Amino acid sequence: MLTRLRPIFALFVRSLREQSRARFTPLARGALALLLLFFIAGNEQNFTRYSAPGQQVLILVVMVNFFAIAIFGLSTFASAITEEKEEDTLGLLQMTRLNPLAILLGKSTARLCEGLLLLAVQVPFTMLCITLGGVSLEQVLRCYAILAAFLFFLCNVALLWSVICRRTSRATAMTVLTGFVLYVLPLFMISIAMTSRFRGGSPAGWLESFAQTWIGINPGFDLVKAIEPRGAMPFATDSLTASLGGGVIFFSLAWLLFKPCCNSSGETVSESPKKSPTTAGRHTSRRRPGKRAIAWKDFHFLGGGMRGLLIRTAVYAAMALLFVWWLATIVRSSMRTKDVGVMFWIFGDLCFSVEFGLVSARMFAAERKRKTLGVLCTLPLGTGRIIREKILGALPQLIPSATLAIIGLLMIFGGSNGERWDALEFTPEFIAGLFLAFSGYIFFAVLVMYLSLRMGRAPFATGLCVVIVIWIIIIFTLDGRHSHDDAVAQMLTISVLTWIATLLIAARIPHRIALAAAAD
Amino acid sequence: MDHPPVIDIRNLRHAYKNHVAVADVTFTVERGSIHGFVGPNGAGKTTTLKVLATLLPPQTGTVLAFGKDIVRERNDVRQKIGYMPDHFSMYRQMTVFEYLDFFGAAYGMNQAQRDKTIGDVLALTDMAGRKDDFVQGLSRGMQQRVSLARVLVHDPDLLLLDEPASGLDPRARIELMEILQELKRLGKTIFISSHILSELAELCDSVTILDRGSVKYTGTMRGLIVGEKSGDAFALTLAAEHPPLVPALSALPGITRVQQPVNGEARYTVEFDPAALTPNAILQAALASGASITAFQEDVKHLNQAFMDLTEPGVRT
Repeated sequence: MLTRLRPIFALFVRSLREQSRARFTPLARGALALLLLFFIAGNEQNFTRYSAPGQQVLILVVMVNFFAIAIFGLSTFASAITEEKEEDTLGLLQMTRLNPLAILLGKSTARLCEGLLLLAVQVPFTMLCITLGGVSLEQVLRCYAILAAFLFFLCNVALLWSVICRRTSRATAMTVLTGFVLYVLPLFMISIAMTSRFRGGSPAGWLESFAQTWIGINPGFDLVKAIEPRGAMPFATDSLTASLGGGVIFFSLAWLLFKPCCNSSGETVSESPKKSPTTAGRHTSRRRPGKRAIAWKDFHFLGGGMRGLLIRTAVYAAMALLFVWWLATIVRSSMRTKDVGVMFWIFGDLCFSVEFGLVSARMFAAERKRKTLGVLCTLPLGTGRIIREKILGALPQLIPSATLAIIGLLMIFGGSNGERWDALEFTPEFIAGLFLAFSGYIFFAVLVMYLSLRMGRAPFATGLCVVIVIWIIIIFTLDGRHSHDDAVAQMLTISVLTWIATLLIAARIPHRIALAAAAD
Repeated sequence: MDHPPVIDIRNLRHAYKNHVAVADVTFTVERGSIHGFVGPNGAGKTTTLKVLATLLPPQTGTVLAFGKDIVRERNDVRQKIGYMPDHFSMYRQMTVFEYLDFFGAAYGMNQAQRDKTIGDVLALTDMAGRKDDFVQGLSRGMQQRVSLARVLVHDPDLLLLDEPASGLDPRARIELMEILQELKRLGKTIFISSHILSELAELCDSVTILDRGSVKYTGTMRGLIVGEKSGDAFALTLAAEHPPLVPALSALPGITRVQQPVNGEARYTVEFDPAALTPNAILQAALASGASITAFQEDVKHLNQAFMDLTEPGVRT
């Protein structure tokens, strides 16, 4: 019996062994534990302000975990099978005694265990919330159970897409889309249903009940309900059951589809059967490289060139129109240009931030993956010029999302029934806030770029987590009761510190590029 | 006017943490030569090549290429070298032409120059008919040719090739060696690291053997295979042992040593002063002694044997 099970767990044991040797795992655990300690220590001052300080700490801890799972889950689990496809090693695995189940378990369960251990390590610290008051042991355990189930679900959704897709980027995108459909779209649907009800109309019954059900299984809402319960609540909440059940379904689908999607002919990502070799080349519409050859290369082959730019623009335009339609459905005649502007601004800004991070992460990660950094560094250009050209080549990718955000801003301040440009007050606080946001963006990009040269996996997610943690610490550290002048001084101080940190990290990037190039 | 050596490495040392990859390496490579760089796995060949390619700065010692310091005058050196690593490092979504065009532009060549040079290197590597193909659709041998074309696109004087023939089939290997011979005729200096010793023996003018981070031999290929002898040496193989041969040959003027057969093999080694004696005279004396000769040839070692003699067995720890 044990002999028969050995191949099933061989890959799992290997992955666990690798993780135990990796420096990242204990560092991440230590960082999480330190973060929680910081929150608890920081919350000590607020004992007098809140009647239930333990509840406040628990909300914070649980929400940090929720977003960390969402971010890390996407970047870690979606590569489970695709990384083997990209390295052409899946065929070798299939040639051994490992069957599809063993490969799926081996490649995903170790990562899942890593995530679960990260959650488990926090539980003793979070128990302190009970002592602080406002929450019970059952509530704490329920929250962690919901988080663990969400992690399990996300792991298996990403695993399914990792089996279906040939590239990690596509698997990640499809997992994001699934998350959007499952967790975000129902929010829009219920808002439409509720608006219709407030107006005395009768929304489609199926729409309302469908949206309500999907919101019920959203772990984010379930976590809030678990911490602030109104009435008795079962331990196995709707989202917990749905996440576990959904996870099993997605894993089963991944298992079923493994053979058809991962056969040897479909495995090799390097071959491109879609394109006829003789019809490409100089006949393509791409312009030839000029003086900035690296920028040309990155624009066309990393960002997708003009076609990629047009597709992005079309997607953002479609999303913008969807928002306008949704807003028109809710507010009808009272819809103002300013409201549409706010929507565009928020959505554009969010997409810009995500694309900004992804572009920064891919800039060097793609070269490292292809092992082309060494050859690139033997060009007589110098590291500084290589970095500048790579940034130049990446910037056009951000044009569509930045344009949407700018249109949103123009609509907010330039709309016919909104505020006018001249109504905008450029107060010192506004300028300091703007400068702080700009500093934060640059810091984030530089950090992610640096991490992509150091880490093999998830530089974007790690960078995002670091920035979120820093912001949380800053918000915790700042006391909101200061005057306007103090607030400006605080924002400027943080901006200066951010720039110092940015410059220190940026100064290390050429050294890391040289190391990565030599390691090729 | 004498040119400085194309490569001049003196007392190079490079360590990765506690592991010393190369220790006190010194050798030179002359202009217009093909220089073989051989050694067992882990000998430090790739580290030395990366130093030469300006990817790793030397921790101690000096490394000059074309008389220029590879650290201080890095960009000048990079303009004159073409480095081909031991793995494929290619932008696989590009076509062959786009790939070469990109590198040509990155080296600062204008479009007209690029068109001409790309045409030339594609013709040299026999890839002109595949220039519109995507790199990802090419076979391994073809990708190797494209890599070589990329190395040549900016017309460098020195080619640094790390295992260029690894993974190629015999025909592709032979064709690659022919291309390298052609490049030598065009005046390029080629520094080639390889494990295929038989091909290196035919191709290279000089060789450096590296083992466990140290140079075991550096010099001409002939010096390696003929060895350190006072004069020339010939091997005389007989059908059977023939004792009268030794006194007959020893009596000839100019003979310095006649080595007796060992292990029952009737093979005599005759060392002589080429100024005083010719191989023809030795052969005539042997026939006159009544020996039944089956072979008479210059006494040279195979590169394999020289390599085995100079390097230590086992894996470096």
